[in-house]
Amino acid sequence: MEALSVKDLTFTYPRCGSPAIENVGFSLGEGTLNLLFGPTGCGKSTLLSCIKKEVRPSGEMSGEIKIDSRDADSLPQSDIGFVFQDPEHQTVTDKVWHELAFAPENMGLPPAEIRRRSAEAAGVCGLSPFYEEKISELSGGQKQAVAVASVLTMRPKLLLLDEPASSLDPRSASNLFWSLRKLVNETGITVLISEHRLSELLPICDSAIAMEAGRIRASGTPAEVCAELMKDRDFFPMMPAAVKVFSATGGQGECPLTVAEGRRYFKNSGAKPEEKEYPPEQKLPAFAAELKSVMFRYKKDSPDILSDVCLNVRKGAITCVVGENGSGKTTLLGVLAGTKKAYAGSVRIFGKKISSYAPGELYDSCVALLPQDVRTLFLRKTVAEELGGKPENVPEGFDWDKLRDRHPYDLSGGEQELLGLMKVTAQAPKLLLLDEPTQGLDARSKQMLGRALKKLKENGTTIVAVTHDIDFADDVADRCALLFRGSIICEEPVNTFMDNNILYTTDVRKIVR
Amino acid sequence: MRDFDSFHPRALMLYFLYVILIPMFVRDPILAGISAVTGMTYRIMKFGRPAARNVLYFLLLALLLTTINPLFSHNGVTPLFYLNGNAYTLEALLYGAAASMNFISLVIWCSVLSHVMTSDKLMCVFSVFSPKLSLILTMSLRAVPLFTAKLRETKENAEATGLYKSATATSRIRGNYAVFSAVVSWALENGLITAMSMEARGYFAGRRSSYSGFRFKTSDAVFLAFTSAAAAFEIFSAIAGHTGFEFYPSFAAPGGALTVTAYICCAAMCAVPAAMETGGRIYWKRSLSRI
Repeated sequence: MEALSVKDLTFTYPRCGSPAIENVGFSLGEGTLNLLFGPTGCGKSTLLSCIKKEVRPSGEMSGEIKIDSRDADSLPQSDIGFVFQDPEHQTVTDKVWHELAFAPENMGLPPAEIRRRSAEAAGVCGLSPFYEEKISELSGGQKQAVAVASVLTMRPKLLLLDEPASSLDPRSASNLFWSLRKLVNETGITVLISEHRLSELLPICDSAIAMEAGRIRASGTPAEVCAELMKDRDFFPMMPAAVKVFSATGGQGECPLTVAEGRRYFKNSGAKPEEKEYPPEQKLPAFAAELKSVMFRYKKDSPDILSDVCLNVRKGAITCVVGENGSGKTTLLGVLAGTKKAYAGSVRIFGKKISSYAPGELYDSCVALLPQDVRTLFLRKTVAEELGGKPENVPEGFDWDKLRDRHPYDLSGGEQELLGLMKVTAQAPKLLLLDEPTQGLDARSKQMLGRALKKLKENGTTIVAVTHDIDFADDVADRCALLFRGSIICEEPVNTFMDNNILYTTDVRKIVR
Repeated sequence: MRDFDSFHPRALMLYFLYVILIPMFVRDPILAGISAVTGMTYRIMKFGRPAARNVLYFLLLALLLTTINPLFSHNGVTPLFYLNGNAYTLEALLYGAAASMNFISLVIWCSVLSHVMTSDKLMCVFSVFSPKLSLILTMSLRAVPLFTAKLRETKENAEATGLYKSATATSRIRGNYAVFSAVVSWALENGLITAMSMEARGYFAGRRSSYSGFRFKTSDAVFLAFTSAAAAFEIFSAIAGHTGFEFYPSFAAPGGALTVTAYICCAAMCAVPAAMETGGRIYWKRSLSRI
């Protein structure tokens, strides 16, 4: 039984010479979880939004889309659910229960039915404890769960999700993926989700479709697709660690997907782990920032967010601070940037007490902070205006001539991150602070960002980044620190750090250990 | 046993209209006094000490309003003494006392209303008039705090990137303008997504129903019937002249069996919240002892 079948679908945006997607065809089985992936700009979002006519962009479309062998456009709206990328802006009402009731209200259902559907949807998405809460007070992951639940109350046959996890931390993303898996198993709904974080999602999917430049590059079971794409230079960086290991050791037999499968495969293959080369450890005696027994809390009677933080940030190095959600990472950056004042302990920036900097002096070529939501930095109408002319060092991968007259909001996530980076480094700060710089970026954008940071380091900038992204830390950092319940547990050279941890380490290390 | 504030919002709203409007239009200090005392009792039961402290404040206010009135109003036939050649009359003094009692009962019940009628309940009441109106209300309840939070965040980031480096007034104004217009374009950009997400969930598809999560139960009907009957009797007795004092030119108080019945009705109606709170507590204690 085919829940969705797409044939020869071509879509062209107005005033665009070439189609955004071309001759796309695939079909999905009923009650399956399906993944759509590919590099940024490959047409994933366009394809998803073409399927539901209410969100379809204006443009020229040809081909056929059938759901249960009926034309998709002739079905009632409630048969297809659509979840957008950003959890914040697709929310309509202020309370969780009201958001869940919104779609059934639109369908004109009686209160008893609305009550039943809301309760069921809240249950399956784990929202029962927050049913009466304000949505603005929930975490990002909970907000996205509300978005999914508010679509489920329509009881759709097909659920489409456009990069729903891109603004979520890894744990919330994983929760979302697993709740979708459970939903598919229990209700028989068909799900098509686009996502670029594959390691978690790929192994639990029934099938995967890879897109490239508006066409389908490969499709089939996750293992088949990975085996086909692992030799492809464009797709390799986004593959799960097990696939990378599989590819590097010859790739004979069934392609492993999870860390566990990868470990089993690696043991049986008898290959020797290859030592990754790290930059030689430098003696860096000077410190850019010194935190001594720093304590911080938001209100007098609230708990400590930072308790007894001791951290010395070495001058001229990239330090990555990793740790789970709520461990105080963002607060730590705020203390370093001087926007949050510690109530005890001492903070010294370049040897000078942070409190003795004059107002404004700290931000004048000294410290700069790149916030998690870079879009809050953009105040002007074009990229060129935003930076006041072309900066000296445009990072590799940022096509200045093509992008200079665009509105900052029209750039891709990776380009926005680089623009934000250029903006905060315009005054050549000596200490650069980054808050979750890789959130929502695809593999290629991460590489570009990593190169840009290394370039800044060569020019003498000290960098502190807080991140969930262990692979990114492994790639760019000289030193790594682990933050746990508001204090620094360890601070070591990256190599030692990754070797000594068994969970806070890269997936590849977990496999080849 | 239900709590008073768990009644259906529409029944509650009608109740508040009764207890607030009737003493306001019937100039009868005994009605106002009954309403003030019962309302205050409920407030003290709900909020404890801080509400009890208010009693003193209300008494002072009443004293002030009462003694001030005769300074401005010189009607009445019983002068107590003369001040700058103007009569300070007994009638005006009594009128002041009655008016201040009305005012205090109004303040007390409005504070009870604002505590009981949370935004969800008001939404449920408004949706009687228009489901669209209530949706606009809930959307603005969400959008306004979101906008201000974004404004603050953007401004902080702008400060940290040196937008306000020179502290002159013009640079501050220019900076604030840039921040404001950026947040407006952010809001417009997101409005587009919100609109799409609404359409994707069938907003423009047809007639909307309005869901509030509140169920109208038998006890709501009983509550509504009881209070409405009491209110109807009070209105009747006010129109028929059994309640309502006369102050000018001379003081006259109503009397008779119907007047007393009207006061009993008023007391019964206004005492519902306090009585339910007491009943609820006793019931709760008894249930607890069975655990």
